[in-house]
Amino acid sequence: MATVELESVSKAYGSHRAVVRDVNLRVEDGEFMVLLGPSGCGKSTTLRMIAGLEPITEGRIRIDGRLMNRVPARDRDIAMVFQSYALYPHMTVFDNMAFGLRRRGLSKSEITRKVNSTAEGLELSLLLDRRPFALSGGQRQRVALGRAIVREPKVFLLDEPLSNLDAALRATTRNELVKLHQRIRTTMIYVTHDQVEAMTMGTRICIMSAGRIVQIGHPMEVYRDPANTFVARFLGSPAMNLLPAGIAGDIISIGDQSLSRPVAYRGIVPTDRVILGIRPEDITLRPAGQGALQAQVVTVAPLGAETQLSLTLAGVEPEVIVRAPRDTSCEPGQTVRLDFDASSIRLFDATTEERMPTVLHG
Amino acid sequence: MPWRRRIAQALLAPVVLLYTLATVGPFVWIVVLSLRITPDIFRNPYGAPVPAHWEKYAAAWFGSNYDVYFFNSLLVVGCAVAILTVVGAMAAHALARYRFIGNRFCYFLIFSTLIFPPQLIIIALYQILIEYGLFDTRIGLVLVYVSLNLPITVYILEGFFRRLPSDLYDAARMDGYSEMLVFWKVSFPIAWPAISATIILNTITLWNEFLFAIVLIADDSRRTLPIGILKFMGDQGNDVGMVATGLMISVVPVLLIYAFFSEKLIQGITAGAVK
Repeated sequence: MATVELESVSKAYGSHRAVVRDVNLRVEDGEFMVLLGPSGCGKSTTLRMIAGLEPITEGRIRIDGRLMNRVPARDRDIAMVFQSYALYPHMTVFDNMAFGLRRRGLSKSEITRKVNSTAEGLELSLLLDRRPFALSGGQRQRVALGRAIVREPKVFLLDEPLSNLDAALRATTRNELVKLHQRIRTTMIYVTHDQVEAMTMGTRICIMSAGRIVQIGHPMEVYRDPANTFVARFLGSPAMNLLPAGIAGDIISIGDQSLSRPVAYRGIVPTDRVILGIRPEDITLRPAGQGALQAQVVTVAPLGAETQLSLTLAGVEPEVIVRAPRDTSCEPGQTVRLDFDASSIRLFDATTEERMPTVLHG
Repeated sequence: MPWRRRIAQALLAPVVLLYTLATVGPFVWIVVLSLRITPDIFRNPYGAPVPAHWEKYAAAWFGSNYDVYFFNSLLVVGCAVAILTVVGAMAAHALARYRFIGNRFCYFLIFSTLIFPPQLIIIALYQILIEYGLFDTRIGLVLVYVSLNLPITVYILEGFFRRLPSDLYDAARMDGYSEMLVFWKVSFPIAWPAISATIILNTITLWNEFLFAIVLIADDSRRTLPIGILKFMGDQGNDVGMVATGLMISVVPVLLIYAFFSEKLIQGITAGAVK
């Protein structure tokens, strides 16, 4: 068992504003939890508090039910992979991986066996005699992972371990990490600002902003039902379109145009100030004479696999981004007709920017 | 353009040659003098060492207590440098890596002692050592040497430790190491170039230290090498030849250390200097 629980955890430096505020999180045994958020949102600080590298100001941290507030990092049975890898430059790859094991009273032969076995799994066997300066970025990253894996900890903590790799290597290593998790089934908590990593790797993702948890859920759940406009904008590339709208009767008005209010939002009190959210892939171009809305094309960006259009609706700021099939033929200035997928429309309160409750999901 | 460079080199060469002669010349002269006897030197100060009197080294070593002085220097400087290295590195590590109340004040306090010239503190030190029964003792001299060189040691190493990534220390803590072991297993080995530089600097300065040794050591059996040379300087004149031989005996270990470790010295100084 290796659950990780954070109960009302906060962190402040001196008398300054708290950098982590009232975080409540439970990571189940064997889960791959991703902490996602922009730079400075407190995700790395949260990770460091779990690791025991930062004292917490308020709250409690438990690992497997055991209170860890005053337990030093070395006694928490946690392994961490750092963004900079933090390999010991004066040690060989073998010694880097064996360093943590030597404190645990294992025999030399046992340490050698474990290191060799882990190195083989990470294709490091031929590099054991090298020092970190003689390794490539990808090799160093594998050594950092190997150093963590060889300890067989209860929990893995990974602090943006892929951020120093090039795009191609990042994609490959991402898959390797997912396979590794499937193989060893150890609880992993992964910090990143990259939503692609979060969506592809996490069992659940926890989105943070300004020191607080904004939403926790399965990746597609959070993607389809963002809790507020921050999550709606942060997740997805291109981001969710957020348009000022109003509700009157069974109609949602967007600028000078209108469409039917989705069934899920029938319970909402009419108001002239809501924010309508719709993902670019949930907007469909229609032939002339069809479609609920009319828009004018501003830019056309053929991306190969798809074509991205930027459109304006009359009287509405900002522009609407649409992901159209790759053979879509449009010109800037052209008038087009569109439909929004009613089941994908999300409404947010214009004042609080929180998602409005639906009759289906609450 | 090549011709400009040639002109520049041609103008620079004599300057470099003059400078080299000015710095190396006296040393070469002392080497020559160490192999000549004093009457020959007075007859012809710049003459060649023909014949070369190698027996002067044996005479100095066995006949003039140089073996005792050498051993004392080795003991005093060795102990002082060992203490300076360990204590200085630990102090620098603590000041660089840990946040605690008074950190900067401590650092300033240690560093500010560098501004005091030795002549200012020697009388007070003399009195203190007498009161604590450390006057005319090698341990007393060791402690004085440590206090004199600790500030510069801490200064050089603090800058180096401060530049080490904090992730390294976090990784070592996560690997199960206590703060003391993190220092010995991670900090100290990584800082070895800078630490080597401080070892060399301290060894060279303390090996040649004269003022405190002559004031704080009275007994001949506890004298260090720089003081031993005084034996050949008397009221009726100086045995110049033996003075030169004595100087050579005292300088050879320093030369050897510098020859073998000069690269580390440059690495260490520049590593600690850039913050």
